[in-house]
Amino acid sequence: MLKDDFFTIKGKESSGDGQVTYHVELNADHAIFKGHFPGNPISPGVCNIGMIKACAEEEIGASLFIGNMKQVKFSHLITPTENKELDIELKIDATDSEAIKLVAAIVKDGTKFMDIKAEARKE
Amino acid sequence: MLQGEEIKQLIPQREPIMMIDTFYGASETAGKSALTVLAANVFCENGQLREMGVIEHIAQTSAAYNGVKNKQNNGEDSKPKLGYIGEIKKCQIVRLPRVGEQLVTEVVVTAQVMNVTLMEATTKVGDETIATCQIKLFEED
Repeated sequence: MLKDDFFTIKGKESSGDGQVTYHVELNADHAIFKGHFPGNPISPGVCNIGMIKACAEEEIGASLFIGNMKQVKFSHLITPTENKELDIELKIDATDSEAIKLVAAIVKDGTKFMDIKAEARKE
Repeated sequence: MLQGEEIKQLIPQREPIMMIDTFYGASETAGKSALTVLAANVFCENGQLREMGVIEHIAQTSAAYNGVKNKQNNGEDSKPKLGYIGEIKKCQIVRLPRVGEQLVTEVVVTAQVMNVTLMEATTKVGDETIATCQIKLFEED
């Protein structure tokens, strides 16, 4: 839904501790920025969640339904002009396919914009 | 009750990300809104409103409550203030709403300090609860 439209994935890296980092870029011309907010584009918190979900789907290779978001914290606003490039850090434990554990954050150059702890299942 | 274009008096969001189409009103500590899911909704996919749409609908219900309070405190002509989600907790989505279904959401304020409002939300389709969550909203001055 948001992938290749609201944002694009530019690359990914895996580190030894099971963390995967996706490098993404926002599409500043997307219609959502016209409505959120007119003349003052800010990425809606739900779109930040949506970008994390899309990267997790890419990593798992399946569509996900995130039915349980235990905690989502938004620490800094993301704007398509100031924060066009972002890193999405994922840790996924898919041992139980009915309760895939997802811990993720959106960061860039030492700033954490948001983080989430959630449980999802494959659709 | 406010509907369609009138909702713009209460919330700062505009198309294509307006996720409430009806606001039933606010009491001192609660607000209630609705959204009929259209296939053209920006958060719709394969006939279902995705998680992001459900949560944004809840957030905008909270924003509309704040919009009513803002008018009560600062005058009927006051424009809706920009607001952001600060935190979401214990968000359970039982199922995704389908195109044609109407979501009705009630938010109840549990705490309010300065420009931060903490609310508990329940979203139903008919009598069926499809989502619950706690949401913290920040509002600009």
